[in-house]
Amino acid sequence: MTDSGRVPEQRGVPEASLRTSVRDTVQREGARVGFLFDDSGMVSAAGGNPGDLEPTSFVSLSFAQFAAARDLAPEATGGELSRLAQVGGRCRFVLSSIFGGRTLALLFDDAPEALHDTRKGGSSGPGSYPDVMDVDRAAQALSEAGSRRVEGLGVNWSRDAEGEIDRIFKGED
Amino acid sequence: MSMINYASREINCKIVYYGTGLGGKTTNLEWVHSRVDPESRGKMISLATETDRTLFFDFLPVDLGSIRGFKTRFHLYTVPGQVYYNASRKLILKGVDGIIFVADSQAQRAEANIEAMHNLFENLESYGYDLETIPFAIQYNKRDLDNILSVEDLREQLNPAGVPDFEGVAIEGKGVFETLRAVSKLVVKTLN
Ligand SMILES: Nc1nc2c(ncn2[C@@H]2O[C@H](COP(=O)(O)OP(=O)(O)OP(=O)(O)O)[C@@H](O)[C@H]2O)c(=O)[nH]1
Ligand SMILES: [Mg+2]
Repeated sequence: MTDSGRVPEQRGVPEASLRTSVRDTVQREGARVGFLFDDSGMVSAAGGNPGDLEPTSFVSLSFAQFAAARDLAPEATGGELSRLAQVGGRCRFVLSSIFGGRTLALLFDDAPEALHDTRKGGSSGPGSYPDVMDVDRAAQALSEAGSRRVEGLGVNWSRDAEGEIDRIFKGED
Repeated sequence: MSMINYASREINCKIVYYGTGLGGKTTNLEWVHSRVDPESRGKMISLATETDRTLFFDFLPVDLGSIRGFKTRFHLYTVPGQVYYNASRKLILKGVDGIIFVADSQAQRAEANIEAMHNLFENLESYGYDLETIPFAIQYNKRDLDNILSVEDLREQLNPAGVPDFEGVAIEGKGVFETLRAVSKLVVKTLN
């Protein structure tokens, strides 16, 4: 961009529909919270209410877990891993592969008794997997639209950022 | 690479500490964690063995706050330096915005440093990344020990391209922020 100090406003429809699809999926599947992250571990969309959960920690651990399991899977099963579920006493946590190397992590607050009751829960009641088709389609649409950054943020932005770097990363050397 | 999310007005940058096993990558990150204002940082996550060797990564998110309306955050990662954890190293490098190579200045670690540097180039190449365009700095760590190489020798071995380099004693915090600032500033410059 030119150096007007203003930063671009919008990225367009595909990004918005990806975010909407994540929010809708979280709601429809009855998850407490959901995060979509890319193959570098960065969040691109989120939905639900994290509560006292620390999102970045949650995502970085999900990222590690899925990556480790995925690397293990071909050796263990000869196939590709597209889902990974972990069930605890009070929660359930499902990771699903999404188009373009992304992962959708959904966290459910399932009561322990719900785990044995297949009538409870929506399409993703314990025992079945959440339906992530919408997110997958939206991710594909985004890739087709080209998700590369077209404009930079301008030299005023990076100058301000450098100031913040000096402030936050001070400390004696 | 850097993720600018215009709709949610967020910017996320990934900085990776790379280098030979026991060189001091985790120590760098621990120092940052201990000295950055708790308001600005998230939780540090270390996936490590019982003997504190990094197994998968260490991770520390740092918030730069809102800059011209964009919530800006740095994700700091270390990789495991031990040779056989290459799959993890490669994975962590995905989408990297800036790299800090932590070299061990001890003479007996010279070969290990060079091997780690080669490994870095190889892994970047496998993604089609070019270290000449990725913000990059080198820290010659453990300057407090005896039997260390001179900075000139280390430079000759590890820094033919003349990227920014710094001496460090990470256990005392020396050079830690200096190195991090240098790479962070190069990263934000790539965004303008
Ligand atoms: N004397 C001295 N020791 C250091 C320095 N920096 C780190 N160490 C020590 O070196 C050892 C290894 O440090 P780590 O930070 O765990 O090394 P690492 O690079 O993360 O190692 P991996 O996780 O195996 O890749 C620890 O015992 C540190 O205390 C330094 O500047 N001087
Ligand atoms: Mg380590």
